[in-house]
Amino acid sequence: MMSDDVLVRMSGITKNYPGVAALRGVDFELRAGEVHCLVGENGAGKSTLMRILTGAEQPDQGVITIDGHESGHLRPAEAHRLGVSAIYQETDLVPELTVAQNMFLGHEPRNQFGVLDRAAMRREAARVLRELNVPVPVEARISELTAANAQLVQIAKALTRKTRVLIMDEPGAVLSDHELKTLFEIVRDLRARGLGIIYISHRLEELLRIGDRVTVMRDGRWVATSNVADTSVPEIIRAMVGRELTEQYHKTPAVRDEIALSVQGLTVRDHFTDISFDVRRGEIVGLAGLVGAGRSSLLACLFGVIPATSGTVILNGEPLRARSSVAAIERGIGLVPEDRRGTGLVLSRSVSENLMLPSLDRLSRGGALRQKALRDVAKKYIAELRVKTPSAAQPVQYLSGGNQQKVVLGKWLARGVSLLLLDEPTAGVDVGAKAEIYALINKLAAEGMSILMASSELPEVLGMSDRVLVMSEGRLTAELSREEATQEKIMSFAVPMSTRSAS
Amino acid sequence: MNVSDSTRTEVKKSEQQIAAEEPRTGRQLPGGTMLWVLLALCVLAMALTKGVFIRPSNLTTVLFQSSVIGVLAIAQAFAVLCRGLDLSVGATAIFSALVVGGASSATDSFVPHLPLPLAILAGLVLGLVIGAVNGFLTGRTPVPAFIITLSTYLVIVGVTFLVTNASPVNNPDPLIRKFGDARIGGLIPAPVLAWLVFIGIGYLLLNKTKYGAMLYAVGGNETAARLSGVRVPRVKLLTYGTAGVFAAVAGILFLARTGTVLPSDGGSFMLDSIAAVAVGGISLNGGKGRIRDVVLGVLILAVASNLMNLMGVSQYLQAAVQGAIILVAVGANLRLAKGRAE
Repeated sequence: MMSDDVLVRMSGITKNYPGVAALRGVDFELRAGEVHCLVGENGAGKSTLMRILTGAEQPDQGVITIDGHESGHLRPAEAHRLGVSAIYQETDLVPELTVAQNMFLGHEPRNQFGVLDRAAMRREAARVLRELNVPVPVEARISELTAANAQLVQIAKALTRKTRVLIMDEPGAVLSDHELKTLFEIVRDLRARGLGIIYISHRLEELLRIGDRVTVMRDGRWVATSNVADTSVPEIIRAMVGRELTEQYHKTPAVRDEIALSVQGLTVRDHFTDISFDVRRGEIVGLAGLVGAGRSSLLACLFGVIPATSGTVILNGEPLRARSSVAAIERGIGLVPEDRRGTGLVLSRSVSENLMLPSLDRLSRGGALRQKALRDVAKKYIAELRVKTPSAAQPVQYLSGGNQQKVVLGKWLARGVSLLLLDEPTAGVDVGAKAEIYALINKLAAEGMSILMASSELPEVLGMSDRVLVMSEGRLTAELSREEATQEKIMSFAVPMSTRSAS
Repeated sequence: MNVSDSTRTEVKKSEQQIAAEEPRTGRQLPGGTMLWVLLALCVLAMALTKGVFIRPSNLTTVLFQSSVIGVLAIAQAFAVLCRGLDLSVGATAIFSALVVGGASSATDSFVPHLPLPLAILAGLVLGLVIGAVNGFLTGRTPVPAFIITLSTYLVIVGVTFLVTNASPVNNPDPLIRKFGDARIGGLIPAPVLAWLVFIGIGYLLLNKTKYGAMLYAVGGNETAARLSGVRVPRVKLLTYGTAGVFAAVAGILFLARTGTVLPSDGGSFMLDSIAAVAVGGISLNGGKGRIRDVVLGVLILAVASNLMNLMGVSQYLQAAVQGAIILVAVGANLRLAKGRAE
């Protein structure tokens, strides 16, 4: 197959929802044997465009040509038959089934009597996994796999059908740098086999590493398509937001002398061992490491969710023995958890209710809510954090990732905390909102708040932190000042010393 | 090419995933869809019964018959909004009715005689205690509320039959009967007024108190609520405690309406309360729904049942129709919710 064969051509795609023009005359082209990155802020129309390509939605105008088949309103079965497969952020796998069962879910091989042919299924699954170099046993249950391996199984699953076009939506979001490398090797292998790959991600560095071409969308329109080799991150960002973000981080150190948090020999069995460090007032301490290094557990322990096995924690001069998140919050700690939708927010409830949740004691008198105070506080934080929402009563589930994250941060601002624990604060957040969140974190530090930020995005760790702690396999392996910290140095301390099995 | 059955479901799933990102575009009818369903049902009833339905005497009967389930459904709604279920509400109501009736009765019964106010208090406290047991167990153990309240339901039924020897309580304090028969302004039955009062109390608890805000949060996402500093076990204790008290009130209204209570009464209470909550559009996944929805659910089922009575539909067929209504209403509500989300 020629590498410049056009596999998919979408032209003049327009889609209107009541009151919203989701797509306005978008053109998009995917060649066989290329990785085509698709970027844009949340709401730019990427997802709608992809939904049209999988046939889940029909465009109001425009033509889609896949492999020579032209169609004005592609149906899911047709798209599927033409070899379009999509892999989404949240894995589509059934946790309680095995890898092989998942890979053939819905199209299980049968023998001549129409009975499920388990042996053939296992054999085929093993073959596909071997071809991809994915070291996962076919008999393992999905629930036993790491997020990274589950993601790879999803790719393998797509390949058990005849797939020509593979859509990957934020595949790197849950992966560490190390795991990302494995993913990229697989993506390159698929590209070499002549597949067309559409790669959607908010992490622009990722796109530059894997992409051949990049298409930028904004507000439902096509903005630019260029060769990755001819472009740069600032250029892409400019195209995405329509304005220049010269410096994403705007770091102004605000570290004071007083020690706010002092952790000595903190251990949680099976999670991390003998962790000691200090955080000063106004200091942002980055917590780097691979997924599974124990960063999230450390934050959970400080927040009272996981009990410590041994060690001491001193917060603002007094020992902290939080046995529950309630106790931790009462001592002035706030946590922005990694899983925003699952544990950070009550999705079905409104922006205002979510903002108020940690502050209800203050916002009520004798059990009765102080309605006016509630309204005022909601208004204040929606304005201050620039949460894009039609009203304070809007359920947070309808907000974009960035705006949801602002609500989570707003909860702790409204409550007023002295130590803020951030776990992947910008995961799945678009570039524009990211810059706003960074500015907010810097502002909080400047006001004297201490911040401990776990992040897998090294540029973010480097850009935001006054000091960087590196964890690996449950131990603290390095403490680097802002000046000494580089991506290479952090990675060298983050990679495990002992070689562990891949699954 | 390998086209399979899974195509459709997979596409659906991805559709939902993407839908979460999209802005909310749907419109809502004022007062909620179920209000319009109720109105349409009333118009239909008027047409089919040639106006009999709309007569004040018939309308007050509908309301009068709804008052017990009306209060009981609010009890159920508390549990459901907290992402639980309370299978013991019906049994609690009957137990309370028996205690209040027996204690206030001039004749000998299984409980010692008490003056009326104390008898009523005893009934309410009984409801509170049962609710508190449910709430304590739901908050402090990993056992699902369904199982916990199923167990307490069976225990209560067993205990009521044991202590009453399966015999009825006949002669409650005459004031109770008087209350049951009273018409405010010569029209509105007193139990209906009591129902309205408890709708108001339920509304205030859910919307105007700290506890109501926490209940919604726990029902919507328990982990997120806990990580935001909500004391989840305490919220559950309060939720089921409130449900118990509301159930006891429903029982006392039942006693007032009938004057006689058998331990075997109220067999359909529990399912009726769940049906009303579901028809009203309260999500059984918790965290979503209002008092208004419960009231509408109760009224829709009551009007449908009244219409079928007026038209002489057999009781057996009525049950089947009710089943269909529940299914259609819940299905429609889910569809509407999904439509709005997209």
